[in-house]
Amino acid sequence: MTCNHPQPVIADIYLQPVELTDVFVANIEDKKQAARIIKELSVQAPLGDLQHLKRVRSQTGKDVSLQVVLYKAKSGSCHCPSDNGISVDGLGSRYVVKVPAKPPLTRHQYNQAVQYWPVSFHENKELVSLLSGKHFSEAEVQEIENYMRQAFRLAEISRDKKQLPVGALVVNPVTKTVVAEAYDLRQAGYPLQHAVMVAIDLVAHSQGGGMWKFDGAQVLLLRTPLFSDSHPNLKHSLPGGSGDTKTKVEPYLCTGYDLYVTQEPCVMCSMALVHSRIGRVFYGSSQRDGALGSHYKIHCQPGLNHHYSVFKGCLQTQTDQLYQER
Amino acid sequence: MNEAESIFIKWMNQALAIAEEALKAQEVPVGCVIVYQENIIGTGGNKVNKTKNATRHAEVIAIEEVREFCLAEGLDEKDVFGSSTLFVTVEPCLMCAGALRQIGLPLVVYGCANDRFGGCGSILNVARDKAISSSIGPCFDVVSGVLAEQAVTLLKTFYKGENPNAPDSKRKVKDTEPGRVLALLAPGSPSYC
Repeated sequence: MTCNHPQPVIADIYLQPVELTDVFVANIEDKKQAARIIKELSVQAPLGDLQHLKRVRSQTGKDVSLQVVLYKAKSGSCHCPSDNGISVDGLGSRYVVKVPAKPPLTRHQYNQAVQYWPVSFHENKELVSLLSGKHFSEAEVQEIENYMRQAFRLAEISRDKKQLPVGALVVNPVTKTVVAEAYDLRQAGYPLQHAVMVAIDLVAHSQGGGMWKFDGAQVLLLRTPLFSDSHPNLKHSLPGGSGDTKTKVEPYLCTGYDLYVTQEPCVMCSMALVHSRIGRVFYGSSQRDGALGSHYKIHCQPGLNHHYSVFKGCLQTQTDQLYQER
Repeated sequence: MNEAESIFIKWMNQALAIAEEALKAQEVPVGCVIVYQENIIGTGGNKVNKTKNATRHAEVIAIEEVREFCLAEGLDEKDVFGSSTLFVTVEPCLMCAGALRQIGLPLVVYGCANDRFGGCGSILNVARDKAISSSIGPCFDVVSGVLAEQAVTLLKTFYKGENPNAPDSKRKVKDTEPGRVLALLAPGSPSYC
């Protein structure tokens, strides 16, 4: 059976259509003057926040061969061309055209943008990989699905205990070990004990901290405090650390860990994962008020000091069944 | 000063005292009290470092104290939270705003804005977002700016790594607009709420 590729949940800026703005352009009638005109314009009228625009466009047609960007048209003002302080010889008739207001971030935005005006484009390799549908190897997809299957089993246990059917699994992807297994406890009395909050506290327990006391009946198991001070040999190296030496780093919160959760987390849990410095989140089913793609995108919210990657649709056919009647 | 203001200041001073205790314990100095029928029934200071759990913010800890209070007094949690007010020295973060909605707390009074994590308008307005009410509970009302300067001074002291027990003359606390200092804090510093 082939597994579904997890779908990246990316920031809205990568998905938006191309935003346009008005600029004045002028024809250059004598092509031989173009180099001089461009040079003079770059001094007299720098492009400012329109650096992504190519200054000149060549137009195929009988009359006009080249057009050059002069300056941004002020919004709301009349579109009558003025000198605007520009004194350059050889500029022909002037008029307003719409051009992309911002540099394109994806190939798709680039293809849209160049229909208006030539722009430069620096493709983000990571983003290309994410959007390719081949970001993960077959083996990785299988591994993700296996972990999600474990989270699914936790959700089933939760359901059997008359709790909300949400399961959460925290994994150290370097050592490929499960750090915490949790399920939803909010209906056991405390409304904040969502599966993700429980999982985060279990990670704290694994590091010799933790706040909530869980008994065996509540939580399936608390995976071994492998990384406590008393086990110095078992400290792990964090992914993305300096590669040349095997630097041993004390675990700090959920840094470098992955979370597998059957349902898209709410805003409280998503922000708890920011505070906890989680590395990646994989979830199964989306929910309308969810905060990792549906209602908010907390993982890529501008202004926050930590961002993590999010992938959805993992084992979704199964997880959707958990939430069908809801 | 009207009556409401003087009551706010009275309780906020209690929250500030708890923030100072957090500072002495080398936690991010945020303090919180929950007031019910003119009595404090829960208090909390940040305990992120002690518990190695980054979600142990002052509000969450105070909420848990209230639950214990309800259990001891035989009171219904929902009723008690539903007629309590939370005073916290710093604007609740996105996580705490989500938590406060779920326990149904109707009014939050805070000191300074939280430019990095604030969930009552600074980053997002989770407190007032009606669209998520069906899953996360009712919106809550917010009063801001109560004793903000004092809250900021405590945060500045913490992030500068100064000894809070040093005599006043040796402290280097420069005047900064309340709230502004939060924007200057270095990335990767411990989280506060």
